[in-house]
Amino acid sequence: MTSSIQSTGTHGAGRNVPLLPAIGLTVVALVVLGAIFAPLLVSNQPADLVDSAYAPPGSTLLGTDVLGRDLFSRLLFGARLTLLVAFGSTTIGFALGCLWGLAAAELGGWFDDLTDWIVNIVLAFPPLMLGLLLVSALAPSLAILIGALAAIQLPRVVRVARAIGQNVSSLQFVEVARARGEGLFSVLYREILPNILRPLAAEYGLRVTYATLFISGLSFLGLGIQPPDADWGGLVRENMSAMQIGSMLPVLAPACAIGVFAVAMNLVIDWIDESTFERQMSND
Amino acid sequence: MLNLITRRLFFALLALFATSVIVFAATEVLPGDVAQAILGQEATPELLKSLRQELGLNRSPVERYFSWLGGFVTGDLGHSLASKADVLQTIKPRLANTLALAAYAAIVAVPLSVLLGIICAAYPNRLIDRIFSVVSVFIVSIPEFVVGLLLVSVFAVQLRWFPAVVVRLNWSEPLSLLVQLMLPMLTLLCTIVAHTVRMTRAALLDVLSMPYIEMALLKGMSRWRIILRHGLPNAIGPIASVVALNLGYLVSGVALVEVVFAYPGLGRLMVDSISYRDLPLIQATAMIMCLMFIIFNLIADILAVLFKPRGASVR
Repeated sequence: MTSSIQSTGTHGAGRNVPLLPAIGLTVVALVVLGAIFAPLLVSNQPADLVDSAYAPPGSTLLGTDVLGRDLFSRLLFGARLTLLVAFGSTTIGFALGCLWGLAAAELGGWFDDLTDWIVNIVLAFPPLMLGLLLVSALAPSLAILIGALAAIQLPRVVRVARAIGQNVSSLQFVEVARARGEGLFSVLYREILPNILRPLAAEYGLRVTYATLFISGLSFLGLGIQPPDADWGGLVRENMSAMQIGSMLPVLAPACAIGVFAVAMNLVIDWIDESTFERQMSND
Repeated sequence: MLNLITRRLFFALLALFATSVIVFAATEVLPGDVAQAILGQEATPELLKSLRQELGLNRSPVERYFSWLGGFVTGDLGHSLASKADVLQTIKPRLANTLALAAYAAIVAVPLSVLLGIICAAYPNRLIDRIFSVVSVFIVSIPEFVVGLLLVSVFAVQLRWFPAVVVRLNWSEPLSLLVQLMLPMLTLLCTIVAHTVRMTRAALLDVLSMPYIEMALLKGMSRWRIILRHGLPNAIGPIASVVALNLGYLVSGVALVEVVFAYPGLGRLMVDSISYRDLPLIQATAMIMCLMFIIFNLIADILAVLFKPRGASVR
């Protein structure tokens, strides 16, 4: 009403983003752009042999890897694979999980009870074990990795969406909409969804970060993306021998890429919705 | 309350059963014929048939599941496909190594993080609290194998203080063992301290916001006396629960850290057996890790219920 009302907390308008989230947003944007435009940004193809093994930076920006390929080029193309798996699997798992969780909250009854059971049982399973078993049972192709990761994310998203949905669906305007005769999807889409966008956005970011760390871990173990392609975790794995000759860059560059991207994402998430971040810390 | 605990126990048992089904199913649907995989392409049909007979592959999956589960419960985990060694004997030393590392990390991490959590809660939003809050965002975000590699690059490659890999544990000299395990321990420490500090702080601040704390403050009690006498005892439940959760994580999620340090633990054994498609080993290692995870989760849940302040609702 009046301009003297001050915004409380950090969740103000976009133009006064605090320093740390601003840095986070910039880093995430740079990584995504770098991944998208990778073919335009590199002078050597990621599979080309350009120099001797573990050549120091000079003719190439970051030097070369274990076989003498351009490390910078492999890093950018690795970002493509990492982000493709992370965003792809999260988007699938998230869409299905939200629909399931919100429907359970809205419908209630036996469907809600069944959902609660399934989620509780699956969440009692250590996620890394689930991932390892899934990829050991199915050959690790790109599609299967994305599908497996989506499946691992699903119960977590269902639980969050269900909890958020339960909070909102007991509010008066939702009751009114129901009394007016709106159907399930109309209630979900028009009444509930607009009111839960902020926590859902934060949850999406959280799940993307989680998927990034997960696929990196799997590939680092040699059970994710298979050579000659490599995501960031795979790059760490294939260059591990560099440490024996005291050259840390080929290992640390992809390792730091994973860490920097995850830190940047979490800085943004923490800013979007603090409680989401707290929850991640409690049940990861 | 008893009701809640039975409910949690019931879910844990259900999860255990589901775990055994998932583990069995996941390893059973492996592409290809196990007998063929063992004997190779040149195997004669007679050999294949007799090996299938020997492995019991001609029985129905349900039958095999129950005989496998029965064997698991009675300690008969079968024999490794690759080395023919008894699985139980293979796993025992690996499990001991993993537990030793987890215990080392826990003994250092738990007192340290609870202490840090108390300090952060005693001075909320002051400098030390803010510094730790930012630092914890960083530590939580970086995956443990990257933390491990960073530690190796600094303390093993540059400074040469600690060994970069742990190939055999030196049990005979406990002191040198502590030095030997320093880097893997520090890696695990980083991954659990941030969680535990944040949760300890939150639990304690929750208690400190209650009216009786204000009463104590108005009586003129000192900050530390209030925290130690009135705050901490009532925050023990959530803190203990977080600690148990992290211990579950320690024993079930160490595979990545073990691979970084070539550590001869259970996690690396599982990763190796997956690459060799050694079914009995995969099944046994996965079951044991899930078992420990579920048990620690159950302990965490029960602690949360037991210590729950009267009148507060359960999440």
